[in-house]
Amino acid sequence: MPKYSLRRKVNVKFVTNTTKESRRVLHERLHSLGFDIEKSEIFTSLSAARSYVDTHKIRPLLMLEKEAMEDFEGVGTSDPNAVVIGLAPSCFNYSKMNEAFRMLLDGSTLIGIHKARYLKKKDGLYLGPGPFVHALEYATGTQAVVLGKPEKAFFLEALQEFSCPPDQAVMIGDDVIDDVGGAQKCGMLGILVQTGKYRSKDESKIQPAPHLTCPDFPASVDYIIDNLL
Amino acid sequence: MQCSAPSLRMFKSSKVCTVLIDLSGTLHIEDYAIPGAVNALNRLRRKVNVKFVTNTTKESRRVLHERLHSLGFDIEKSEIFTSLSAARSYVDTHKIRPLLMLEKEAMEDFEGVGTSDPNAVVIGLAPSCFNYSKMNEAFRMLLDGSTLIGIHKARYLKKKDGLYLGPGPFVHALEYATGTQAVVLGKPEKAFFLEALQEFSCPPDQAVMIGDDVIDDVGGAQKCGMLGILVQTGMIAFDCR
Repeated sequence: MPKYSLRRKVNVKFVTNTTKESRRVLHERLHSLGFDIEKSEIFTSLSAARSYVDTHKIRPLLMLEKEAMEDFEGVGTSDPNAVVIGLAPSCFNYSKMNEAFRMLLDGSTLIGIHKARYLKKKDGLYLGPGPFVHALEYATGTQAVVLGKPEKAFFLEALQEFSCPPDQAVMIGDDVIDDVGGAQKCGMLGILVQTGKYRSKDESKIQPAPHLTCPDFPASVDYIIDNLL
Repeated sequence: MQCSAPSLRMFKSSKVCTVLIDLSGTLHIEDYAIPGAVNALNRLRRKVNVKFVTNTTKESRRVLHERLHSLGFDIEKSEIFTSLSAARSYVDTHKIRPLLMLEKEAMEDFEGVGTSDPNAVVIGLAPSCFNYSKMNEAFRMLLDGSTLIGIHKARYLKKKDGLYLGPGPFVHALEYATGTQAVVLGKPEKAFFLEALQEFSCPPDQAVMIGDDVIDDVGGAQKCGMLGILVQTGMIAFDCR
């Protein structure tokens, strides 16, 4: 079975831009679906943000939903000097956006956990955090620090644990721009799977095209084991 | 009084026949008139056409007129041209059915416009609409092919108690989300100034714009060939950055 045989041959890590749920919640879900995954193997844009906040000794105003706040336990938030924005519908209102705006005018740093334009749910498309980060960039004439996919720093940080150079690494994902495009821009091989967010002809949206476009995750694993190891 | 007019020599050959005047920050600041402004306006009126131009989208023309009248200004409601007027005019001309993201006080200027089965999103300064739910509704309409119309794209505005986000960032958010560009109607767009002058059949090079916003008032007017005069009241006087 592909999901077992890949692990025996290479290091694996799970990378996601989700900012609505903590790592613990993600892990519980995957575990309940039968995946053999450790919580420490999951690297989210929230993890990247937490790591950035710690490294730079930042005191953030966190624009996050309650479920994601867990990943920031222990971070000091009084007298904030940065605005950290994730997917936070309850914060995307005039009052909270204005509070963030005034902090940025006072010199706080703007940090976007990621800049996804939208996300897909069962009942349709929803605005991502990207448009709201963009709104504040426009209002203040500044540029946000962006942490998640497709930023190079995100992929490099995920690989760091294995001391693996990008050209010996593969990224498998359904988002041609954020997953595959981003990974290939830092020297990795990208495999686009035709499930989830994938829409017809997505593979023609990036240059160079994905190293491989294939039907699903099991197919990508077969390809890796047969051709890349 | 020190005035700098580097382009005056170039302009002396054309006779000015129309003056456009910004309202907030130029003729008045909130509830008080700029000292001397009422008399100055009366003197100006005797010699040229005047029109009052403003980007406000939070209040109807009637409300603006009432305020100016109570401050002593001799102004007709029909002489006030707002970005809301420009938007109403655009909606009528293009037979648009808008989803109006406006505050209640501004809706008055859209009376008579059909809004069922909307095919455009029209955005003004509307704090009560700048929430995830309403923004998402607008987003989905735009994905379905509706036009995005920004009444203006001011980044922020100044009030007595500080700076507030303008409609610009929210228009920008939807542009980013959909990968499209909004039609923008108010200052500093060229079309806005030209439409204001149209009533007098006055070419831009015979018109002057007076305002306190160097980019939206003066820069915008000069870009369409008008002479711009920057007054040192309003935006500059209240600058707290």
